[in-house]
Amino acid sequence: MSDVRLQLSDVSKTFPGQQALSRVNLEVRAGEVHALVGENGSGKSTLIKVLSGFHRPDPGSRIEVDGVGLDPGNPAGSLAAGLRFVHQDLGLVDELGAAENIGLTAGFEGKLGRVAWRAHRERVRRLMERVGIEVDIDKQVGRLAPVERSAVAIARALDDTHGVPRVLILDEPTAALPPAEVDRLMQVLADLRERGVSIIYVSHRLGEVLGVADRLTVLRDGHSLGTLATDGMDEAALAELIVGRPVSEIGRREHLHPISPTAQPILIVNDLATDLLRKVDLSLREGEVLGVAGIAGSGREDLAPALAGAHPATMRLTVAGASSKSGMSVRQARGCGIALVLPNSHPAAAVREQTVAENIGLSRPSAVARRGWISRRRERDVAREWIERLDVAPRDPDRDYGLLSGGNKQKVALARGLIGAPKVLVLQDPTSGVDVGARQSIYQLVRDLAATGTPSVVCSADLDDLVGMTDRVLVLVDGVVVEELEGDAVTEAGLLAAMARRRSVPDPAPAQMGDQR
Amino acid sequence: MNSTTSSTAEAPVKEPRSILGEEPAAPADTGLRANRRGALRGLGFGTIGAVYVWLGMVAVFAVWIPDLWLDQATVTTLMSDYAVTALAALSLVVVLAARLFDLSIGATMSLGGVVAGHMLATTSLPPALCAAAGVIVGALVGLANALAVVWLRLESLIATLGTGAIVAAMAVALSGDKVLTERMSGDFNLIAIGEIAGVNVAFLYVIVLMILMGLVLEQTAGGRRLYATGYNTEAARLMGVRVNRVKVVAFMVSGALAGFAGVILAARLQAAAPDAGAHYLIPAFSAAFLGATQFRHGRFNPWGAVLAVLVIGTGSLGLALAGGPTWAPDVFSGLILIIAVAITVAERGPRRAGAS
Repeated sequence: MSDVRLQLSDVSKTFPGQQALSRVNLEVRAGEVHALVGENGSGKSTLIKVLSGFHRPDPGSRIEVDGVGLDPGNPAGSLAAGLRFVHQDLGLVDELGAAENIGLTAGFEGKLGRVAWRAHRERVRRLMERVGIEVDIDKQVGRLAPVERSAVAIARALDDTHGVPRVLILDEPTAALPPAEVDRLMQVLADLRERGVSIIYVSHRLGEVLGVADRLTVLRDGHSLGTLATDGMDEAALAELIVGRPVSEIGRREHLHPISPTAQPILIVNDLATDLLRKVDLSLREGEVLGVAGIAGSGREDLAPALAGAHPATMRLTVAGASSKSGMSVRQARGCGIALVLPNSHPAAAVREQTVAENIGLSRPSAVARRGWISRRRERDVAREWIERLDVAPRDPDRDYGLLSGGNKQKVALARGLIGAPKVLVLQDPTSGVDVGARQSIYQLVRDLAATGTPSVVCSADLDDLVGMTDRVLVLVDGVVVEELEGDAVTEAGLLAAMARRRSVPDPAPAQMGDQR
Repeated sequence: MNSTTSSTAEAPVKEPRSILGEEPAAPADTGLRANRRGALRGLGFGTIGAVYVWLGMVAVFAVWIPDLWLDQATVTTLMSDYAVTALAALSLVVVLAARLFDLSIGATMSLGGVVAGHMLATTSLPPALCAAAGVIVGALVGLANALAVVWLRLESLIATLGTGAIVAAMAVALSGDKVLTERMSGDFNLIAIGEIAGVNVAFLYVIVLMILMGLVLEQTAGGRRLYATGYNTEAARLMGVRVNRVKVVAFMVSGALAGFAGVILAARLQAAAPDAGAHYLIPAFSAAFLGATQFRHGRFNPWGAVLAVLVIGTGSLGLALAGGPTWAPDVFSGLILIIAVAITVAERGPRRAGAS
């Protein structure tokens, strides 16, 4: 049990201007489930990409599988050494069946290019048996249950055509799974471990990590902080370890200013429901920035587009006293005064091929047109005002939007939302792909907007966003608000703990934690 | 005459935006230098390369076949013959700007001409009304295309391939598979070959429509919405653009223009053949795509399309006059289509990689 299967010693990876990994050490034993935990940007993804051979680590890094050194930066070498990956999106072709999907990577049985389907299916069936979930291997993968798809991806990883699989690396395997299926996946992992397969398990869900893993290694800012046994560890302690500050010190939020108890609600939403959200209620008061947190699949990603009419949803909505029924279109939502600002990385955030001025003008043609004719000068002047106000660089309204950096794209996206003078701003992941400096100015901007009459709803996967600009955060788990944190209670540790809760199994411990603060 | 055509082709170059918008990323502090370089680039090969290609062709043919080439008749033929191609290309610019393909325009042209010819033959209505009927039928074909694309949610390429086949069949059925010629000389003929102040009217239609379309596409909210829908339908929708309405209007305008092109073709030939429009599909696409590489780099635009028709027309006519085989013009416009799209792809490639 204690022989070492995978050993990483002093693995570093430097990108231009950034040390993504510095002297990371990791030791995975044969037949153990080893969890890798850390915040976004702590280096988990980079580490996985180094292992898969996608990134070449810095000189001096050493990776050994069963005592044999691994050729770094070589995907074929990683595969031959027995490192197998199941990525978050699984990488399956939805239109093909399991048999064909597995054949695409593992190769098909047969002679002279003709596939011997009977033999091939038999092989795939044996692989699926090893995984332990029964799947119709001819059914289109896209029509299988989520956990069955995961099983197919795991079976594919376990195929031994390219060498014996030694370490299975799972990246957020439960992100897309409903709670009931998470348990089935956990059973699969436990069975695999029994059969001596080593597993590296990467997840944000702390409860799962503690449940399934034997040991865990914490990454923070590219450093490995050491490996611990999971026995006797609780979620609060783990969250504190991940964030790196004692709970009492986390989340100093100088920006907070008390919201007047007489503040009127501007936006009231009742019974908001989408594929992921189940009857969520929320209200946003004057001067407030409301955050929405949740892991992938919790419904957090649906909420902003649903509020703005861009995602099918039912709800009862009241904006500044005027209520509307359910199922709004984007135009109706804009008419109500709700402006959606998508992350700049989103393909529909703005039109890359048009200039900054055209993009800003498009969202409110009346501001740049006279009697139906757009005035180029006016369009540029309006764009310049926003460029000035939001400090977009370069100060060139004629620059193609697609050529701007992430932070500046985000500011233009904000301008597009603000030009219609909305009553409520709905932001989704407002700092994804935005560097540190621009991030702070976006936080400041959103705060200022709230103070001057335009409150915001911020839905973000990045906890820094929520801690950095919100007054209050709703935490979603499986489409339901499980917790509401307010004021100084909005901390990374608190959010992590709340997000990791399982709705199907009510767990009193995290709730208590929330109460203590 | 030459001066007239080249000055219209160059007119949009004065537009400073088209130059600035295409400047590659440069730090803000070098703005002044960038502007100067931009102004030079405005006249550069990358922006109006087709103008130089055209001038080159004019020169080559002037040396090769001086007697035939340097003749008033050549210029007249070029303007009136290729006015129909230019109208077809303009009709495509509208739909292509919204990233929709319309493969039915050839058939729509045929049907437009046949409808006009049929009404001339069977009614005593004035020629102008018969011509208008051809245009309206074109718009209705556009509506059918739009329904297939918006309502049935078909790919525009597939939808218009289907409607095109049906529309072509309708043209054959309505004409009884005959070439209609009744009442086509006289007033109806004048719709295409008349002259105003010594200039061919078909050529004037092209110029007027080009300018009008340029203004609408670049200077109105509707034009912005059209381009935005084409570039990024979802982003446009999220900005409150009624993308389906935009697509319907684009198809209908395109259909009406194709119908008009068909009517002008029939009027010029004094004959409406049920397959007359089919020959214009490839040249029109070639012109629209080559036009997109001109002035506005990758943006389908009317000035570029008309300039491209001039290039295609000059090449084809020159080859014909020089005694080239009858298939030479088709090879020429096919080559233009491939080269134009290759240029567009090459221009977009590095930009996409650089920005992501």
